[in-house]
Amino acid sequence: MVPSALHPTWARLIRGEIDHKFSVTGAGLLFFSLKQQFMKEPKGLPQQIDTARQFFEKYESILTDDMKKLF
Amino acid sequence: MLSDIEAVKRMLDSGKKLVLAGEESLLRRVPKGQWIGGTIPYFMSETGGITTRDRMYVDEIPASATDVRIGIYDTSSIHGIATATPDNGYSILIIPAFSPLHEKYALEALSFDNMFLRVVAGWISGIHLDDLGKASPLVFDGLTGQAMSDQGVAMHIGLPSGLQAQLGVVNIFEPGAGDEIEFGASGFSTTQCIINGTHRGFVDYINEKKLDTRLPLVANYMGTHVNVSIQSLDGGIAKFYAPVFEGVKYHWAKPVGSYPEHFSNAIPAGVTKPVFSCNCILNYLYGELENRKTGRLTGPMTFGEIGYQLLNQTLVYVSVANV
Repeated sequence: MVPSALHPTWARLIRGEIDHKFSVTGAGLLFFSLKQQFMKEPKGLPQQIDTARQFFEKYESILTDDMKKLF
Repeated sequence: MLSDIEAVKRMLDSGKKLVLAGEESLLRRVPKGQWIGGTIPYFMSETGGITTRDRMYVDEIPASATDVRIGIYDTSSIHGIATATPDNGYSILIIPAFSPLHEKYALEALSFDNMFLRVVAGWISGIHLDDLGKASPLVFDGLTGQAMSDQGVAMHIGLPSGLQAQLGVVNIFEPGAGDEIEFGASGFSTTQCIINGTHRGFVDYINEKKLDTRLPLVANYMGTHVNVSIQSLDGGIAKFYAPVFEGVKYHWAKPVGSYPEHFSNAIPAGVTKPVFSCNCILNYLYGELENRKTGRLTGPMTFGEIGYQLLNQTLVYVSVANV
């Protein structure tokens, strides 16, 4: 199950504070994009976390290894 | 698969929906129908790399598709490409090389609404290298037969529940252990760079280090390696096939031995019959892939690959999986 938006790992991933190598192409590109957005607009963090969670919910079946390592 | 014009006509007559890649003269002969296309004469076929002006590469839309629509995009509407993609499905987008839309997509795609929540793949159409300066890369809307050099065309494909489109990228290049390279501004060209924190001329740096410009710059996007290929070095200006981005750390790629062997080994074992794949013309040229196979994935060898964003020297595929 995808962790709630309150889990601190989401924000740390988006702020670039966790050096994780995703196994899924789209996840790496997504978090790169979210980090760029965060640097331009830090107040947008809740929306950025929501986008990340939507991606994880959609592709949960292929992100299980990443989720085990991250959460 | 590679097919001649008569086979393509038969497929359309039987109700199949197609994504086509081929020479302009061939695409102009395809009857109106449920197809989109883009110009390119270079392909990876089941028997190896081939340059042909006589056949087209055909991707059939899965018979299980629940909804198939064609959309035309320009620089003012391209931001909606992901939103127009079915939530459960995928889009194949073809954009003409060297167009303003090509540049806009390259620079801004990552910020388009819903980009990572939908599957957007595709390629940049091109021309035979012998025709540079004589012909223009084109895309075709099969519904009208219209050819366009300044707009993109997409096929949006919906899938039934129980099936999911998944986008994959195969990049045989890895960042080398050399200098960390950054750029002060995003764009398709530069004169300056920042090497390990020190500003200097980029072309001078390349010449001084005798770097192989057939190898791309590689950035690591949290595990996903993204290439930027060198187009030319001229008069102190370096031009790229995709933009470099300000604030991103690049490394020159490690040399690659056998391109066919690297591709064969890098394609995930579970990917056997994707619904779409394409590879880069630079891999075709630099890897000397004519008549050589790169594993089991086939498709056009293009002037740029689309896997969410514009990619270079990369193989992109879309597979449909049971979920």
